[in-house]
Amino acid sequence: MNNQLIIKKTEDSPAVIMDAEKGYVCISGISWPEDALSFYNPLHDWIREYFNNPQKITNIEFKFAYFNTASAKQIAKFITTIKESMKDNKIAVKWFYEKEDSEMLKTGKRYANILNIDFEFIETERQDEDDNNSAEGVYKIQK
Amino acid sequence: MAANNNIADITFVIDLMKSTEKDDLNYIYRGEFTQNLQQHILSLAEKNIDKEKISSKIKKRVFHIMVESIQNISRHGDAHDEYEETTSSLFSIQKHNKWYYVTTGNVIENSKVENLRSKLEKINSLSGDELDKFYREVLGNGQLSAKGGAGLGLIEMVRKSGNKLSYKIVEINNDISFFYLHTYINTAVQDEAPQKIGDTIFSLDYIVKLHLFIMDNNILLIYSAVFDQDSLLSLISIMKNRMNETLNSKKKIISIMVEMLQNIIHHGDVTIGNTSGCKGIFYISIRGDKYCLTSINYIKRDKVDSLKQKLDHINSLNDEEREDFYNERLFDFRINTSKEAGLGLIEMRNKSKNPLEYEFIDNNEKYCLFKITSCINR
Repeated sequence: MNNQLIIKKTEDSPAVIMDAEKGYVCISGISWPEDALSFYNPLHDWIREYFNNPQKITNIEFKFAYFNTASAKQIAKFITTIKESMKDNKIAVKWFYEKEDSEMLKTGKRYANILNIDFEFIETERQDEDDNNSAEGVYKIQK
Repeated sequence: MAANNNIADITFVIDLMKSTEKDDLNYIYRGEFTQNLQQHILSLAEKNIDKEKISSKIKKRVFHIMVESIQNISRHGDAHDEYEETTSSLFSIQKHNKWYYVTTGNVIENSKVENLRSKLEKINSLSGDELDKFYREVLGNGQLSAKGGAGLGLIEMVRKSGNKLSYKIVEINNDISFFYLHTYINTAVQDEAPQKIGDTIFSLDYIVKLHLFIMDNNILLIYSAVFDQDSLLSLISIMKNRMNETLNSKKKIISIMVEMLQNIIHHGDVTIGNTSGCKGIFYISIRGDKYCLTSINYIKRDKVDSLKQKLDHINSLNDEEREDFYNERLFDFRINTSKEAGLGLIEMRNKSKNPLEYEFIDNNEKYCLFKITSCINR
C-alpha cells in the first residue's frame, strides 16, 4: 500500500485523497465515470490494507455533488469494506451535502442505517463549481 | 398543444438516429438564447470541431459561421411573448461526412420580411468578388441597425462557407413569421469533398418539418449521435445551464439523464466501428408541469422479454417496496460489474416519482428499438 493515494478530479470522476499518516480519507465532487468499477477498485484495496495499521482515529469525508448508480454501488462497497476491516479502530465519518439537496442527505442516511455506522451530516453551500451558471473556460463570444 | 405519441411521428424522429454514423452529430435546440447558453451551445460545437483532423484554419472558419448563425438569432429575432409556443428560437447543428449543417430559426415581424428577403436575394446573387465589394460597402456606409445587423453577418456566412444561403419564411399570423436560415460548410480539402447529400435529414425542409414535431411535443432539445461519455458530458453541461429549476429538481433531472444516457452506452446494441458508443437519440420535452426525458436505442430482440419484466416489476412496486428492492441491489456485490443496470432503472423511477413509460418498436428481425421516458415533476 502506498502511504498516499491521490487522484485529481475530472469532469466525471471525483477527487480522492487517502493519507495513511494523517489517517484521512476524502472523496469529493462528481462521480459518474464510464467504468465505476475500475475507478473504485484501487480505493477498496487501499482502505483494506490501511486498516492493517491504522491511526488512532481515521477521518473519512464524503463530499459528493452527484453520483450515478454504478458509483453508488461502489460507495456501498467502500463503506462495507471499511466496516469489515476497521475491527475495533475508531472512525469519524462526515457526509457533506449541498443545501437543498435532500436526495444526497437521504442517500447518506441510507448508507449509515444499512451499515449501522454513525455519520455526521454537514450542510454546505456548493459542491459542484459548474452549478453556479458561469461559463468559465468556455469560449467567449466575440463582440 | 397536446403531446402526440403516434408511431408515425416517432418513426420520423427515428430517421435522425438511423442516419447517424460514427462521428455524426444531430443537435437541435429550441428555446432561450441567453449569452451564457450561446456559449455552452457553441462549446459543444467547438468540442466536436476540435476532434476533426482538419487544419485550424478550417476549424476557425466552421466555428465562425456557427457564431454568426447563433448571433443572427438575437440580431434579427423579434420577441413576441404573446405567442410563446410558436416563437421560441431554434438552433441546429448537424454533421455528416465532412459537412457541417447549421440551421437557425426565429420570429420576425411581417413588416420586416420584404427587406430581409431582398437582402438575402441580393447576397445570394453576388459572386465572390462582388460579395467582397458589397461587404466593404456595407461596412463603409455604416448602416448598422440598433441590433448591429446590416446584413454583415449574412454576408460573412456566405463568404466563409462559400455556399449560398438557403432560407424559408413561414407566416404564423398577421403580425409575425418564422424565418429559417440554413447554411453548410465543407471541412474536407476542396477537391476531396464528398458529395453533399441533398434531400435528407440534412436539408432545410427536414428541419422545418422537425420543427413542427418539436413544437407539437414541446421539445427543448434533441440530441442524436453515437453516445459515449463525451457526448454525455457535453449534454449535461448544456442542461445544467438551461434549467432555471431549484437545485433539488435540477439535480434529479441531471441524475436521471446520466442513468438514461449511460444505459444507452452500456446496454445499447448496434455499435458503430470500434467505438464504445451506441447509436441513440435523446430528447427533453415539457408536458404540463413535468420535464420528460426520452431515450431511444437499439437492443437485440432476445433481450426484450427480460427488460420488459424488469420494467414492469419496478413499476409495480410501491415506494417502500422499491426502497427495499433498491437497497438489496445496492449491497448485492455479486452483481458487481460496471454495467450494473437494475439500479439505474429503479433510480430513475425513484427520483422521478412517476412510473417509467416504455415501448418496444419493431425494427427488424434482429433488433428492436427501445424507447423509455421518465417524467419528473417540476
